Amino acid sequence: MLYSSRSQVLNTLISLKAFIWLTATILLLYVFGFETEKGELEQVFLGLDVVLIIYFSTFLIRLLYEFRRTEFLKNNKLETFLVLIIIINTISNHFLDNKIIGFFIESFEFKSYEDAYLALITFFFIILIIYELINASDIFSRLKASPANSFIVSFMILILFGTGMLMLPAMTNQEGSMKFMDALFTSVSACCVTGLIVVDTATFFTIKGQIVIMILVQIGALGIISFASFFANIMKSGVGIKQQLFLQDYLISESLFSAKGLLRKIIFITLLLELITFVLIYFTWGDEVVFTSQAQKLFFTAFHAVSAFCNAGFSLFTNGLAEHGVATSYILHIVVAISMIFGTIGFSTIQDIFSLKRLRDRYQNPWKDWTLSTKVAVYTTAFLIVFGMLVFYLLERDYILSDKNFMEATISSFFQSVTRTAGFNTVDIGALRTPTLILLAFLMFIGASSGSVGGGIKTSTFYLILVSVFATIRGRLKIEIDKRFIPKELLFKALSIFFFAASINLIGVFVLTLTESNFSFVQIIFEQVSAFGTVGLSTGITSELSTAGRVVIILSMFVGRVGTLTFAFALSSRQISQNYKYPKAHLMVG
Amino acid sequence: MNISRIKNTIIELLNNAIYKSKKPVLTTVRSVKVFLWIAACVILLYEFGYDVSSDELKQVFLALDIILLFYFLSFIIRWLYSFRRLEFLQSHKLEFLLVIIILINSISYYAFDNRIVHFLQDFFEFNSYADAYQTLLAFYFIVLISYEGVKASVILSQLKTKPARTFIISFIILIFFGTGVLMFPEMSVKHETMSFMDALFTAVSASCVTGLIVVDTATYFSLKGQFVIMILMQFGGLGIITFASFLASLLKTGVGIKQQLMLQDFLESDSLFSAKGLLSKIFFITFLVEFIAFILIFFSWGHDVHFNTVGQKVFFSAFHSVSAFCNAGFSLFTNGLFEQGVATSYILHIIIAITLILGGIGFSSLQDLFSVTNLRERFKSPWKEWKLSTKIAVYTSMVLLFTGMIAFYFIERNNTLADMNFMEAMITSFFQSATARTAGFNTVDFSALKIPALVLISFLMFVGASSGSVGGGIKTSTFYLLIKSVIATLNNRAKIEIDKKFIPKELLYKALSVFFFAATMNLVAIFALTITDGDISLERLIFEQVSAFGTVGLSTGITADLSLGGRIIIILSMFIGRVGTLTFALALSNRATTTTHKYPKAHLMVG
Repeated sequence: MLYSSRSQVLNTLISLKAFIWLTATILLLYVFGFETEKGELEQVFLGLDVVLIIYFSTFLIRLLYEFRRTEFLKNNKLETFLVLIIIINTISNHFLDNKIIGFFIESFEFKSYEDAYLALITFFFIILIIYELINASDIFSRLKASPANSFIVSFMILILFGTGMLMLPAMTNQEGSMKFMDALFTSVSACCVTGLIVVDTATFFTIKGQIVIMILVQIGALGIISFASFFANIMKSGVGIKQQLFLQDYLISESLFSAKGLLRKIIFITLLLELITFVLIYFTWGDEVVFTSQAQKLFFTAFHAVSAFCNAGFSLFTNGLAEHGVATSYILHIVVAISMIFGTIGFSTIQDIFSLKRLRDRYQNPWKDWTLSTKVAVYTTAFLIVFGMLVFYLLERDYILSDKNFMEATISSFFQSVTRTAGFNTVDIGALRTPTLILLAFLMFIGASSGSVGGGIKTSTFYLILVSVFATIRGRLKIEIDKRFIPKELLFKALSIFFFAASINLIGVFVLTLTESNFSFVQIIFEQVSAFGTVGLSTGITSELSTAGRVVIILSMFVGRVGTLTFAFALSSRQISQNYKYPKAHLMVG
Repeated sequence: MNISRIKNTIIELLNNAIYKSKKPVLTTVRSVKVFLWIAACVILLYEFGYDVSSDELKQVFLALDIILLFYFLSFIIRWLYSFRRLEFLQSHKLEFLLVIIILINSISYYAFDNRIVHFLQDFFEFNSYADAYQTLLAFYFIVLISYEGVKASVILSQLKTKPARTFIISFIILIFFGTGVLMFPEMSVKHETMSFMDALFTAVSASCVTGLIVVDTATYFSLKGQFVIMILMQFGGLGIITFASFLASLLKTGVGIKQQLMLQDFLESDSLFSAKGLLSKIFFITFLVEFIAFILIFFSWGHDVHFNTVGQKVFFSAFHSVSAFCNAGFSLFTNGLFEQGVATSYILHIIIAITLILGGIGFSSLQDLFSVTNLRERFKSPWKEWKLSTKIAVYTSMVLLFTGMIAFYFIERNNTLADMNFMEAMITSFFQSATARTAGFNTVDFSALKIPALVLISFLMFVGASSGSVGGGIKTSTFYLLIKSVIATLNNRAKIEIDKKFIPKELLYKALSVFFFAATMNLVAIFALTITDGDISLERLIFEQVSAFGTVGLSTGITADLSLGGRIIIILSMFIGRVGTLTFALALSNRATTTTHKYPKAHLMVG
């Protein structure tokens, strides 16, 4: 009976669904972004209810038209689950006098029924929209854009979306909407998980604005990890010269999201680690930190957990973790620091070290070791952290650490050393000595490990360069690490990335000295390296930068984020045509 | 016929008579000679370095006369004992000439009442007869000692040390010699012994042709001290060009993978000085360019610059010409070329700038561009072009020069260039851009520059001169290759071709390594400087450090204010910037390859 009308009806449904999502998004943005009156709010709720009902109906129709109905339900578990929640919610709303919502109100201490309902419905819709977006990204990936292009374009879309969201009036505590430049800056800073701020996150934004920032950080971070891990997978599988031509085709046809199960694993590990961080942070807030409500404490905890793992460095305190009360919660510092380290060590490393399969494998076969990239990431990170910590301690012992005891000073040094791509600070960065700032700039320049959320030239790059230079000085041609031969290609890549990063920073610093004449040189260098390494530490000059200076910093953040990765990618996938070859040139260098 | 027969007979008799004693006599003569040279050096240094009274001076002169006499005698003996006497004279032309001069001098001194010396005295306006004689004598001995030194260096080269080691050791010897000489009381105007650190700093700065100063060259040093600095610069400059050109000629011949093992042996067995005729060519070109620069500078001093005597004018011209060609940047004016009067001599600036550029373009490029053989060949066969290395050196230098000039003009238009007209401002910008690439003269006040200008100049200093030249930095060819490589990567091309030549990855790798080495050294030193000299602002420290590492010698004026630790860092930076970059590049080129075993390739994600 249904068969003949099937394709027609399904097409109509798809158009209808698209229309509904659009309406729902606009309605939500309106509610979320503007101050709405009570009457308006009711209309909006009505509209949302209608949207939900239509969604429910479309789901039913699709279920009916799908001839294998149990399998359809299995394939669309999430959707089924959501529809069930909608049904429960509707029933509770219209028949049971809102007991469920009332329960939420009590436990999260919302101010009113509207607030709670809004939060709940927003939560629904966000999940639905994300779900549909993931479905849509499948379509997007079929467009056969190269991974590098899709990476850059998706980042730009995210940034512009974030900018638009942040400019909605209800995002800020002040009258009217945020300035475009400020919103763009904040959005770029959040999407690139940098953490540089031109307005105070704690006081300038409403809780809505803060949620938007948190979401931008989360999506930005996931995007980076996905892309970087996708790369790492391709690169590490070992591509010889012969396969290079095939690789090129492979890279163009294959999309980011089709890498089998990768995305799912990444999201799982990320959310798991964030949850653990969340729980740990929740119980380690110092006594002096006063929260007005339980919900605020939860939100603060969630925000800092996301910000820490994603290495964003956004904080809901005006002075970051140097805020009075937080600055002395040393246990909290250690929790945040460990969370940051996990964020910077790289997805593939975490998988290698902690995945059950690998653990079991190593337990059964004790001769099996970590992979080379894991070793390099872990040892270089450990070395950099300890080195940074020691030097920081020695430099600042009699200065900023002077009123702390040895243990506290060590923890503070440890924290500043770890934060090399995160951007949290437990001391006042503006009060540090010049050598310390250079040390931190150096650490920021190196940054995190490959395949992680952090920026910089990456620990593996740094390690390879060092090994290469030592080999040269000792007059050895072959470079071997852990019984592996390091091909020149790889060293060449590492050095190219170093040069690329150094050049971009030099240009950035040069332009900044032209646009900003009232800051000292060290502050400018620090700001630029921090932006390029997507760190977010600042001596406090960000908000005083001129418009041109802000544009430079925005570009630095963006280039530092997508540029280094795509440059490394371009280095690996260059086309080789073997039609002809000129004679070798011999030039004297150095 | 008779006469010739008699002559032959006499010679034969003589030969027969002395044949048996040849060996012991020659050995004795050699020992005596070594002893004489040491004595002469000590006496000269004493006389040169200390304030000696008139009586002492006479004794010194007597001793020197005796040494000369001995030298003369030993020459005659050696001449007699070498049986092919004409050939002996031919192969010892310089020595022969010197002996003749000694002879003439002695005759003039004892027989003709010192006419020659008096003539010189009048011409150069020396204060007294003693001064003139002393200068003349010193000149003799320096020429003689240099001559013996060159001969000794041949022996040194037979010791089969590696070129890199020879280079480093000879620099260290030169530096310590310079330090010692500069510490003599007579070197300073105040007749006091310079502190060891100051002397070391100045010696390193002069030997490495940097030009950073902790004491004012113009007012602190006496004429003698300034003279010593000039000699150090000249030796340092020649040493660097020689070594770099030797390397360049070696590396440019094209060494494939197969030859690499042979190269290794070649580098170890072959010495710096055995590269055929290289040394003499380098000397010739260097002195020729310096001489031309000297003449041009001599005639282009502005009217506002007052010299006491013609001698002083000659010395000033010579000093600045050597300093310019060797890219040293030492000046005999307290404010450098920014001195009142000199600062407005724009013609002088242009001449010095061109000398600087010639000094920075590299010996092999100079040869390629200007040597008669190459010019004639290009004239006859118009399709023949410059060599690739020459093209890169010339074009990159030009691009850097003009970029630097225009950027400097726009940054400083309203600051230090504010009271100049357009042409003057352009010349000044041009000069700063040229001087930044390793010379270190300044015609504006560097402490008054804006930060962006300092960053710009630091960048130019970091890039530096061309390969095989006297200048420092990472070199224009390195910079060019780096830029090419990055652009190729961004354009998604794997092959890099310049001028129908394929650039092998090896070369790019080398360029990147040199860049990294230089960047790291600078970073480490800047970090150390911020600890030792925390009271000086960062941009000045960076400028100072990059200037020292690039052996430039520009400064915002903080050199003399540096702490002891800071000075040691700058000294090390100058030395490493001078010998380190070159030897590092050499080490990159001749790494030992063992092919006995090879592990599987590693795959790591970078970036």
